[in-house]
Amino acid sequence: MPGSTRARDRVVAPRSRPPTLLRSLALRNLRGYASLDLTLGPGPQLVWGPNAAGKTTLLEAIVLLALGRSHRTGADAELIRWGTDFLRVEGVVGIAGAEEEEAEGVALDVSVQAGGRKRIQVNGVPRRPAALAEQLRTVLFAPEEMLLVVGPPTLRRTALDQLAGPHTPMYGSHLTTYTRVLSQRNSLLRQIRDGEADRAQLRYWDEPFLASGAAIVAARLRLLELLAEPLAAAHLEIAPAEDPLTLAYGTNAPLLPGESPRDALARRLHETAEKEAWNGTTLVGPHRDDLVFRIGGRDLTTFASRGQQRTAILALKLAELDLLTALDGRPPLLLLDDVFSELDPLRRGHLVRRIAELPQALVTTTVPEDLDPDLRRRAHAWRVIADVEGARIEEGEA
Amino acid sequence: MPAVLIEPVARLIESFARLPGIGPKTAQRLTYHLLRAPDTEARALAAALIAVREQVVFCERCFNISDRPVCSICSDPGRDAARLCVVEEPLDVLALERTGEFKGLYHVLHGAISPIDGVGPERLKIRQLLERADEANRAGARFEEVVIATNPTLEGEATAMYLAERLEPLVGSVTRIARGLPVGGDLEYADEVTLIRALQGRRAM
Repeated sequence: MPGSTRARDRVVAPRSRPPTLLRSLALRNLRGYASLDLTLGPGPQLVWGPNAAGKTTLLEAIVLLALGRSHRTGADAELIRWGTDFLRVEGVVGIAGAEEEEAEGVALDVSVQAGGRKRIQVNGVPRRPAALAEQLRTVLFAPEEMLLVVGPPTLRRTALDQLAGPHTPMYGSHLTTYTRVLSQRNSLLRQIRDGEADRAQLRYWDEPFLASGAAIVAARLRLLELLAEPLAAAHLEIAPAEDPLTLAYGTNAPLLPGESPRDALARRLHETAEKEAWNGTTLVGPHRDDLVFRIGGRDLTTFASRGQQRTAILALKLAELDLLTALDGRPPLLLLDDVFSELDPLRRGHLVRRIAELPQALVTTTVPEDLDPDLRRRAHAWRVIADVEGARIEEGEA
Repeated sequence: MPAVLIEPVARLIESFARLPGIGPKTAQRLTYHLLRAPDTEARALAAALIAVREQVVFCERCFNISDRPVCSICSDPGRDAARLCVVEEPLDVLALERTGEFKGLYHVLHGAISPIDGVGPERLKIRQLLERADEANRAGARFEEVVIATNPTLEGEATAMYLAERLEPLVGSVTRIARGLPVGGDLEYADEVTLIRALQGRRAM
């Protein structure tokens, strides 16, 4: 009876304070896993085992539950275990500290069919991906992100968009509109360049382009403002001897005094009108903007050592934790994918202290001996065992 | 196509698969259904396909599908000829007609402006729409109102803006259909964009 499920959803899932303790996780046919059911407690959860056993897949399952998509692939069908035709990830999120019996859990459920069809449910009611993030918020720190500072700008734009999302209602919708308008506008510009269309037609796309583009820029600028203080504090904590770390918005449409993002974008669009018709592509807008890491005013992309890059990324992750916690007072679930081996002992120490303050965290490693002894003692250990019949997980000391 | 498929079967599967909403599996199922079906059924389908191409034309005024040069709506003297509703597709006319609310005439554009798909204004029945408004003026029967009922998508909105600019000097007034919450819907389950539109379009009670 759909009516009764909807009524239950209303009682059980108040919108105001999303609980962030993941109490259980169930996987069916996800990559190497045939079937897995885990009951998770509070505090750090240490997941260890050899390479390719399925540690990262476990984190990936949690990312799926939080975002409705994987952080490793855009093709959902790739996630389905070989020889099966669907996958399902279920989890129950509950309020930290509540007794097991009285704990009001919110059930999250993501499944994908072989054709790539995805279904997302919250408490049995079909919802959109954004509804998942309202219940389960995560901060993921994975080895791929070590490239954030010096890698291609797309990495930084994606990071910006992921950060801006929870802080700005409608951000995802603006992004979708912007992407669509941009490809319409670029198609039209190519036709104009080739003499197949009239430049006057650009006008009909400029309004939604400016509206969604300016909303994206405004949200990103606001995010950087919010991030400035926690970032400086985290960086000072990790690297007290270094000059302060700052983040700047690198844009091709910088605001003149008194200008709004929309005015600036409109002005730059006008200024680049000749050139964009010649190039057949839109030259200004948030799709070409970038995030600039600076230490003492100098751009990290060009001069940073490996150590400085890592410090900057770690500081950003810690600031991200602070920022999400500040949203409603509930810390997010921290997911660390084998990053300790990338950090020196001093930086590890800062991360370990932060993990200890969190209600729950998941840490994967191939070498438990590499971890801080204090963290190992406190953590609940899970050992991942690779198996052709499907990966398994056993409780036990690391 | 696997080599075991004989040519006429392969050709029919391919033809079905080209239709919108039909994938390779459905195309195969339809083909094998027709192979097993009585001869009359297959022949009736073939005849219906030919009839639809031979007997159905576009109305020369509104470009809706019709079985005669001027469609039943355009030739109905009971319709309000001072009001015109512009839609993207013939199916939109059907949807609006089911309501019985609109008593005027229609104009079917056959699409919306979409550079990605290579559809510019010249590919739509826009020139014909403007000529229609011109002719009405010359005959002293100016359209009092033109309702633009293109879809509330990016492409539909761009098309609406394009039309509004060109229609304004030619007709009494240009209006756009409202956007908002579906009837029987639940505020809690509406998406944010729809809610914002509904708030923007609120009115006094």
